[in-house]
Amino acid sequence: MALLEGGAFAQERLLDAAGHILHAYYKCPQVTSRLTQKAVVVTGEELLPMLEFIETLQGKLGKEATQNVFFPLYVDYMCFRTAFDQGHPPLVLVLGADLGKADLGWDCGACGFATCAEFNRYRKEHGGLGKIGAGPCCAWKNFDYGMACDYACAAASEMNVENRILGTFGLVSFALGYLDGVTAALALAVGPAVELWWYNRPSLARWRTAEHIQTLFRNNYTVHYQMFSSDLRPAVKGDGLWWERPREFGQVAPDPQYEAYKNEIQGAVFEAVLAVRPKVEALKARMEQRSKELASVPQSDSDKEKAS
Amino acid sequence: MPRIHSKEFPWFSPSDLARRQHTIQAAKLMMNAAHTAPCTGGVDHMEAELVWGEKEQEEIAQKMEELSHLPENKRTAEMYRTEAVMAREADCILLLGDTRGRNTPFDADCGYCGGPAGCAFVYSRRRTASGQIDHTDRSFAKTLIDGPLCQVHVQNLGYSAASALWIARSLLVDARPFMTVGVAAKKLGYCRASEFVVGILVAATSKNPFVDVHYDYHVVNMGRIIDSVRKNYIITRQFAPDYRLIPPEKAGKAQAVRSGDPKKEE
Repeated sequence: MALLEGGAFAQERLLDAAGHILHAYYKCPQVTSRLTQKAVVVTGEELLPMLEFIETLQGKLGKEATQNVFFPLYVDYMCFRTAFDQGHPPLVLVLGADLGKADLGWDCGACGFATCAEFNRYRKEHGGLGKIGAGPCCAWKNFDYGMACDYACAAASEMNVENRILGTFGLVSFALGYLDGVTAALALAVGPAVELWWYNRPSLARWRTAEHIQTLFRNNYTVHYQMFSSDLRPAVKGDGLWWERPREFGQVAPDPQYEAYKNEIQGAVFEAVLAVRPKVEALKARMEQRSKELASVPQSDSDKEKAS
Repeated sequence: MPRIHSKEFPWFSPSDLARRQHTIQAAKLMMNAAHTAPCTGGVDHMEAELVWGEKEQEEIAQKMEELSHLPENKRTAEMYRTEAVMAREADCILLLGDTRGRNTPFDADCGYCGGPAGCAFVYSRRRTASGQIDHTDRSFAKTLIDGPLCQVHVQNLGYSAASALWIARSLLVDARPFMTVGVAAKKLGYCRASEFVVGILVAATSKNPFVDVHYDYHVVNMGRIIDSVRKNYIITRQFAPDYRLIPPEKAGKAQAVRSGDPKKEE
């Protein structure tokens, strides 16, 4: 028998947890019973290409620009990098599925097309990539994919294994080709054995200042009902076909040009007042004169009687 | 001492109702699990309704049968009819609806809804004002579900449904999600704020009512067979002599005596 160091042993046994999680993922209930789940387990140094992808971007664009490419991606990257550097890298379960084939024949319309056949035609001619995955998706297959991923999360949670499902690293694993034949991929980070590693995010404090965070909040709150989610400078929607116009971004910041414009307006207002005010003064003078004249008119006899 | 007696049959007997009450308790916990499921950005996105009772479940089942006979549902007709039986046989129905997919896309430009056009795939197919979808305009709806929907929210509803099912599994209660139940319930006014609704049938019976289902289940199922037995037995019992006048061992002879047939008398 050997004496085992607890932390290292817990780290080693993450693979056991991954196995149980994948069982739950593959056997989850489905509405369609037609979803084919795929998965790959990324362990140890196999994770490095994902981190290198962000670091390559950083080399090309600089740190600040990389943080802005897709802000939540950098937040998650730092969690991975810190865990890796501290010697307890999480496992990544890349969970994916092909949601782009409408073969149910339900013609339910949830995807936006009247029939599954129309969906498939559009998909063939116009389908493509977004920020996280490819579209369009069969809504019920997407729903089932969500169920499968949730079962994976629930399995991890039931084993009390630290975890978080990430769209960001799903995108990275999708782009780098960790999983073939899928249109959607999410990354379920499993471990490290540290309290709330993916929620407390201590690594954030190394690069996000309170001022940064306040700026993010101020920029986003100002356009809260028209913005795209949580970018450093949110893209803002508008009336009409706003998606066909050049994008507009919201920002709370000093604006000297607008400040000068405001001052110019203020000056013009003052000048206009000075120009018009003498006329009002003249009116008031005339009114005063008229009041005096009315007061000096002699009263009639009947008025005198009433007064007495 | 108060006593709770639980028994599956006869249906809707006091003992069966007691049993159903326990399933309802489980379904309430499932409902909570649906709310606490992981979701993108932690934004609340769903509503839930729990339905039980003979009349209420019958109403949903009949709506499913009605939908099964519509020409536009020809390809799903069998599903609607088969699953309508299950809606009757369930102890209760948990409905989960996605309140955001139709009206308030997640705006993450994720691409799931329509690829390169980003969120515009959804927005360009709706009437909008000030960058918002005009939720009051339902004139575009030509299908059972008024799509396109934001697929982030649709996927999130999958998480909610799975968490509910996970709790059912932990409590050893049978449960299964169905598109057909959700569509019918929505048409009846359940989960009013949602466009995409899934119905989870829940039961705690010896035989899971939602699996091992054969063809033509809508006409050959336990309820129909029992009803058929009742009908045929009632008719058949009337073709036998009265038990007080003619004991079974004399049945044939006694009948012959009365009929006056000499051969039978021997």
